[in-house]
This record gives sequence, C-alpha cells and structure tokens, in this order.
Amino acid sequence: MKTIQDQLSAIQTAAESCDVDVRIIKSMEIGQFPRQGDIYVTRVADDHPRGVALDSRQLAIGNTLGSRHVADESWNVYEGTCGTADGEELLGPCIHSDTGGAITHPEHADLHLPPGTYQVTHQMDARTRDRVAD
Amino acid sequence: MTGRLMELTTEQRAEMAPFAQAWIERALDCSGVVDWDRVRDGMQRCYEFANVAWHDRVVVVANPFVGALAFSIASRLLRHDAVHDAVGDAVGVAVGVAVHDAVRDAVRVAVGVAVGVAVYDAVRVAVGDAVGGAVHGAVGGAVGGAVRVAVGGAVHGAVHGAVGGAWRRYLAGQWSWGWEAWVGFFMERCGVAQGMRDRYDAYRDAQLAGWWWPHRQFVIVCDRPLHVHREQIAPTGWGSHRLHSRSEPAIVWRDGFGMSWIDGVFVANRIVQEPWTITVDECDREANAERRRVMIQQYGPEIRSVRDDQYDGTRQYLVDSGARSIDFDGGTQARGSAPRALVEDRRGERWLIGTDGSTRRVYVMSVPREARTCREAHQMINGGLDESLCVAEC
Repeated sequence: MKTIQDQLSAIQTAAESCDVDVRIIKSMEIGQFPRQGDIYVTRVADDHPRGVALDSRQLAIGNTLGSRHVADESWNVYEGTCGTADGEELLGPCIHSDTGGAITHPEHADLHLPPGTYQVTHQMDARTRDRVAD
Repeated sequence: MTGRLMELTTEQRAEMAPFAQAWIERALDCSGVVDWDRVRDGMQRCYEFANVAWHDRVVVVANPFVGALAFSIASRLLRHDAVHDAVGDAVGVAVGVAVHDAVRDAVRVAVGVAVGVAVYDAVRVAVGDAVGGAVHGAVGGAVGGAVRVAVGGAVHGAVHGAVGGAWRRYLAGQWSWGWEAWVGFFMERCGVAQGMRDRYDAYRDAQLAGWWWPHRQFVIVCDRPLHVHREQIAPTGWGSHRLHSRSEPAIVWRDGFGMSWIDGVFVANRIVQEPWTITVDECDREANAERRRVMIQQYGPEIRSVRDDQYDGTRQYLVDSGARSIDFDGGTQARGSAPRALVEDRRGERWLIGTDGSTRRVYVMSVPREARTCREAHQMINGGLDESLCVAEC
C-alpha cells in the first residue's frame, strides 16, 4: 500500500462491504465505548456526575440529519457535566438505563447497549478545535 | 401594575421558551408579504415620539446592499440642500439616534424600572438571548459584516467623509428581534411598563421588515428575504445558530440577490453555485484558514456532484494536490472497524481518512499536525479515549 490511491481504494472497498446490522453489545466494562459516527458512548460508573434531566433525546446538537443520534425511550437523558477524556467542549449528555436500550440514527447502524450509565462525547475537528459539526 | 415585578409565576416561566420560539419563527419566516402600511405607520409613530417631522416618503429597496448605497448617495445629494444643518443631522444620523433614544431606550428603561434585576436578567437570557442568538447573532450580524466589507469600500470612494459612514446607522428590523421579544414578554405576558406600550408597539411595527434608515427627508427600508438557511450548533442563546448552505446562497432576497455562507463562513457565491470551478491552487492560496477549509470541502471537478452536508471534497483535493501518506493500518479491530490512512497535504496539514463502519461512506477528518500514526491521530480527535477500549464502530 505505497500510494495514496492504493490506500484510498482499500478504504473504499472496506466501506462498500461494511456491516450495516445493529451492533448488539451484551456487556461493557467501565471505560469501554462504542463509536456511532462522530459520537463516543463510554460506560461510566452509575454515580458519574450529571446535570439536570433533559427533555430532548437527541445526543448531538443540531438540526441536520447527521446530528440525529437519538436515545430511545429506555434511557433517561441528563445534561453532561463531567467528561471521560480531554476537552469539556467535546462533552455531550449523560444517559442511564436500568434495562439497556438503543441509540438510533437514520444512517448509521443502531447501537444496543447493556444496562448502565454512559457518557457521550463528541469527535473534535482539529481545524476548528471544536466538536465536529455532523 | 404597581410596584416592581420581583418574581415570575410558574406559568410565566413556562411561557418563555415558546414565546421566544414564536419570535424566532416570525423573524425567519420568509413566506409572507410585508404589511407595508403597518410598517409605515410604525415608522411615523416612531418619528412622532422622537419629535421629528414625518415626511411620508418611504422607499422600499430589495436588499441591504442597495439600501446602504441608496442611503449614502441620497444623503450626499441632499446634504447640499441642508447647509444650515449639522452634518450628522443632514445625513439622518440624528434621526436614527432620536428614534433609538425616544422609543427603544425609553421603553427599555421603563421596563428596567418596573422589574427586579433577577427577573430582568432571567427573561433576557431565556427570551432575548434565545431570539438574539437564533436571529441576530446568526443572520443579522453576518449580513452586517458582509455588507460592511462589500459596500463600505464602494461607499467610501463615492461619498467620503461623514456621509460615507452614515449607512452604518441603520435600524436592523426583523433581525434585531431579540430586544423586541425580551421587552415584549414583559409587555405582553407580565403587564409591566404599560405606559410605554404605544412606543413599544410603534417600534415593533416599524421593525417588521428589513434594515431601515430613518432620514429627516425620507426612509429607506429593505424588503424581507426570500429564504434564509441556517444550522443549529448549540442548544440556545448567542452562538446557537449560523448561516449555512452548501448548494445555494444561504440568503436570497426577492430580487434574486444572494449571499453565501458555509458553516457560518462568508464565501463568494461561486463556491456554492459553481464549486466545480474551485482549483487546488486557489485553495492553497486562500489565506483565511476557515475559508480554505470550506473551499476544500466543496472541491471536486465533477459538475453533477451535489454539495449537500454529506459531500466532502477533501479526499479528492488530497489526491489532486499530491498529498503524501504518513501511515496506514487496519483500524481499531473492534466490530465495524476498517482500514484507515493518515496523509499530509502540501501545506503540512494532516488528515485521517477512514470509514465509519456502517454507512458505506469514506470520511476525511482533520487531525493535528503532530499526529504520527492513524491510532495517534484518532485518539487526538476523540478526546483522548484509548482505542483499545473501543467495542464497536458504526
């Protein structure tokens, strides 16, 4: 894979043959995370700091299709107050479910997560030093 | 009402968000025809409150560029007939200030006296800032900046001196409605400062269209636009929205005149209307980093490619510009992971290229220049999460 064209071809081939089925995750340790598009959903302790309960189930800000990462009715959604990694500007909501539930998106595969508390964080755009605008 | 309003009721608090949302929707509604009789009547009442004689000469123009030029030129011409006036008065600056002081500020002061500081600030944040961020911050400020750049030089060359700068003294019409919503909530929902209701109503009516320039001998006022495209980037308040459209000008007025923004970055209309004309050299010459970023996103010689929010020309730009490979690996090894590449462009900027694992798309992500491997690059943009703890990608 010496040339960029070769590498891009390999990436394109992998993209076209990707697995579009729902990702069912039966167990997760604290600190583990799945990625759905440009959000990361990290398992945290149940006493992870959180803010007030939110009405919105959308986990990314915005009104575009790409921002429609939505926690289903299984989840309680709270304002995020404590990140899991660097950069508070990347902080998203904190979610909790006693039964586990899905995070859906109109384009990305759904995520089914086991019961517990999770902190959402966003990917960063290195050019703007802010969260990616999905 | 007697005494100061020191506390909002539960019902009043619950009304603030929908009240703000209604103002936002009205401010950005481009579907209706302006009720010009109501606007004229509002302007006349504002003049009367400001003790300025009403002339009944209201000229409607198509867009703010025309308005700024027309006001400057007309003011310059009329100045020769106003030799006994101070320059500011002759160009109408004094009229705008008088309206502002006698109506807007008078109402604001009356409301400030009638309510406690905590209530005043609570409504300012929940209503005024919500509308201001969604409308004035996103649209009015951006248009003001663009007109300042484009018209400022032209006007200064044609009508220099005090008159040349007078066009900046416009009243912002529908795009300043954060104030109207804030004060309106107190007037309409809390019943305070009713002695100023006539002034508030006059100012609100005069502001129902676009920018307007009050002059001692005329008013120039802009029509409302045909469409405004924004995107939301924060929940509410200042900075909540920005102008954005990748396939047509973000604002178009009824005469067909339009201006373009992508991700809130002001660009030439060609960048959205004829993006296939963008060249690699043009991208590399662009000194403004934000503008260069959106030009690269729009890049792509194929005319038929639709530039929607899913389109990203960065990959094609990197190939065409002769970018070099820094690293290539098989991904995180979690379910859904796939090969990825770290490349560097001609200016030394680095990009991580990969797929998300479920949409069949290839993404190009900007990463810090210090990144040496794909893994390092990903961890720099995911907030420092350890890739080995990733359980799935999609």
